[in-house]
Amino acid sequence: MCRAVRQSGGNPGRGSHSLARAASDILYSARERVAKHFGAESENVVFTQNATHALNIAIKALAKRGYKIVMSDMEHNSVCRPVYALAKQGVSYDFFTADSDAERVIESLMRVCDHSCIAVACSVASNICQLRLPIADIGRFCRERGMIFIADASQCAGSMDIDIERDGISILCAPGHKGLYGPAGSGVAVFSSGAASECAKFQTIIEGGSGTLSADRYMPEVMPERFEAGTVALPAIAGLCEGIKFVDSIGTDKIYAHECKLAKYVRERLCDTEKIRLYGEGEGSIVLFNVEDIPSQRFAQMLDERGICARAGLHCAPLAHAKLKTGVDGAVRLSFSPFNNVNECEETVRTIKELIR
Amino acid sequence: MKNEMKRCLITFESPTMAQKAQRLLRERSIPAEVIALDGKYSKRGCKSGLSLSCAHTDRACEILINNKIRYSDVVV
Repeated sequence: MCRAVRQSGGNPGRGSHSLARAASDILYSARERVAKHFGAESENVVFTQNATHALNIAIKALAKRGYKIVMSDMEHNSVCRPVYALAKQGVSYDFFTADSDAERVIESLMRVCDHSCIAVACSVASNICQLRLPIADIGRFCRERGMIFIADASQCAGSMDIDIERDGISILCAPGHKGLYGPAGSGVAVFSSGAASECAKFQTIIEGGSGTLSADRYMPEVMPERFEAGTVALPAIAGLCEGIKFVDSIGTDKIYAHECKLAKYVRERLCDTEKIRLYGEGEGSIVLFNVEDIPSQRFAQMLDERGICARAGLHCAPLAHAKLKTGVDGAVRLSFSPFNNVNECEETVRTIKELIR
Repeated sequence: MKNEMKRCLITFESPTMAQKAQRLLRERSIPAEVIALDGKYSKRGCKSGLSLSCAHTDRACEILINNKIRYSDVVV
């Protein structure tokens, strides 16, 4: 990141001078890194500010009166709100039941996907519980029906092996600052070769300079410039590239196994604790809980006073909280990373137990 | 001027594709520089180009086609 700021302050893809060329090199290396990580072509990687930006690009590309978009009943607002906004323009929507079981998900999709349905948009993994959706099955379902599959990988990019061509994903959206260990202000929308070849049909949500075909009135019909209006956040993108290098050096499976091990450790030590209610089932890398008679935000504050950072509330996912029946105050979420260890988990459990004593 | 000395241009609508093409050619020992092109090369405004020795142009184009990299024109 520092190198991007200090040594290449030019605007990538714009000029021919040495600083612009250096910036272009950094940008393209980051595209290659992201592409390799998700099994895509480098030109099909669109850099965004975050996952929400990427999801808006993907979802609103499809806006057309009479079309229908289907999402899961546990979606984050980054999926729901762009869809709700499109509904004001005549796009309809429906929900399928989020589940880890492929058969149940496909049955549910078959019930809600009619001839007007052009896309399924859903999180690959919940941001509040252990649930991971069977994306390869959803991808196959969409591919067989000629539908677009928009996958929100916010909670699993970096801890799940995702290959957009293999998994049938049309557009994968991910933030840089979570499991890919980039800085805030970075994100990606990664298009499959099929979706990219039809990019001219996709509407743009932001228009402006693209560094190419500047005499045209509209955004170029080439990837990735069609969706990258204006100057990209090069320092953040350079940081994201290094973050993915870090992830690749360890491996997504190993990272996920470590996170699950820590989550299991905490869950097992809290599950028989009086006054604590745990949510969600099965293995996973998140622990979601509530303490009897203490609102979640208050309890997160109490943890913070003891040096433990936990997010409470609805986590921008009111549908998911409603499904898990956490209540109006939501719940407290503990999440883990490769930088956490068992000792920290033990301390967290001890602190929680002390606070509710 | 000998063909090795003369510079040719392969033009692209996408600066990213120009960048991709450059790396691909460099991996195959064909040196090329990405440059921004002015409106002279397109009525639709600026484009990106790869500047390379004319001696390498045919082979470069073959490599790009084989790798499904779309270019607009070759300017000799």
